[in-house]
Amino acid sequence: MKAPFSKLRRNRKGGVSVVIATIMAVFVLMMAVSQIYLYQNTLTSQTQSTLAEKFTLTNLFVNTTDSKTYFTLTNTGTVEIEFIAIWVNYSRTPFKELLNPTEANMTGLNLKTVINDTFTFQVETSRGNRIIQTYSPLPENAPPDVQATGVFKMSWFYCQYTSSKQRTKSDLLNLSIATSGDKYVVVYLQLTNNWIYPTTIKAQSFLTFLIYSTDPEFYVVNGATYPSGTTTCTDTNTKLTQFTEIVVQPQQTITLAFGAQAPSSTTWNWGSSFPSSVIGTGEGANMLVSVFYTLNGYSAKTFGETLTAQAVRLNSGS
Amino acid sequence: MILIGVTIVLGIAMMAFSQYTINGQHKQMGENLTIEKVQVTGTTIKAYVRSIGDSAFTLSYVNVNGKTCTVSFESGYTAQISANGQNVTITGFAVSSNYLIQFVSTSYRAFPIQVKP
Repeated sequence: MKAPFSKLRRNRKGGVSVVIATIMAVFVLMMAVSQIYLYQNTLTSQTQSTLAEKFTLTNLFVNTTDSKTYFTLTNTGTVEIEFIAIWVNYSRTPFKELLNPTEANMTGLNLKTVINDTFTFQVETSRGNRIIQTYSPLPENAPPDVQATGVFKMSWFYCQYTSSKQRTKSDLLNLSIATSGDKYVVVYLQLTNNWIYPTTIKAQSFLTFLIYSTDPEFYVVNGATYPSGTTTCTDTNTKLTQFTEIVVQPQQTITLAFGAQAPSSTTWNWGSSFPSSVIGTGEGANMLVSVFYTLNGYSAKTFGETLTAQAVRLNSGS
Repeated sequence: MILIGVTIVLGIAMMAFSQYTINGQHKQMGENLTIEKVQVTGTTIKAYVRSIGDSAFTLSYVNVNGKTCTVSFESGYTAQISANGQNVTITGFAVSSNYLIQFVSTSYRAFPIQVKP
């Protein structure tokens, strides 16, 4: 080690070149290392952003009234997310959406020309993350809470007998059928679509009182219509119109009317012969409602749900 | 004097080489590919891929279950994968119930995906 340095001391040019070469080598090494280090940092930061990108996809359903596929995206991560595309099965649709952390947005898009029973829905982000969800509008695939409570939830019902009677609610327990003049008997009940998909209640839906073993059955009607501005109905102006179907949107509540169809007839007019025993007048009268419905636009398949109710006297003194 | 000149030339050569190496490293490190969708239909695999990296991703070849397959691109697209995404059609693989597909770049960076048709 002594010899080279002693030589360098004598050879000044050689010494300078060695110093320059050393400085350059160190400079090159530092440059290489720093560039790779800095670039590695950039990539690490990108990877961290990709990992920090978290989001949820909820409320996915197809609304057949406007044929749009609705869904809610929520940014649950800590970085801004840019959504760029949506896949429905193997069909890709560009989709631009920017969501800041904690931000959520519900979107409705025209994605499908033919609405199938089930399809795979996938959302892509610019960083390459994705969520895939299988959309299946069948009741057996409903969330557990919907399976437990049913697609429809009944909140109340009451009976009303029409013709020459005022349009006021009559408690089932207090219902009495007049011996003359009454023509129609209608049971009203309120249903809420408990699911996240729109449904269509069909005309085949019916209601029966278990106390009565034979006809009549109560078929769903459009309700009793009355001349506007009147509170009292007469035999001639009260009508029950035939029900076709009704679309019930998610969480929408509707009132269904079930009219007692006259035996051996297609009319609703009972004259004065409506048997009072059809409707239980005492506590414990059981009612059974069979609601038939389809899932809008998905298939011709009709689903059924049975709802039961029992009359309870709320006021113990009466 | 000659020694100083040689040292400078060598230094420049080293710097050029290191820059070349760094650029190569950058290219490989910056390559990133996302495979959005894969559809297997009989003897054809159609994949939708998108370059999401910092540097361009040029597809060199595709392996399906270890076998290099024929790759074709849609009209207007090349092996340099678009940042907006593009379809890649793969043929020439043995039909199986499970596919391990590897998209390999020109700098030999592989992006695998497992698919069950």
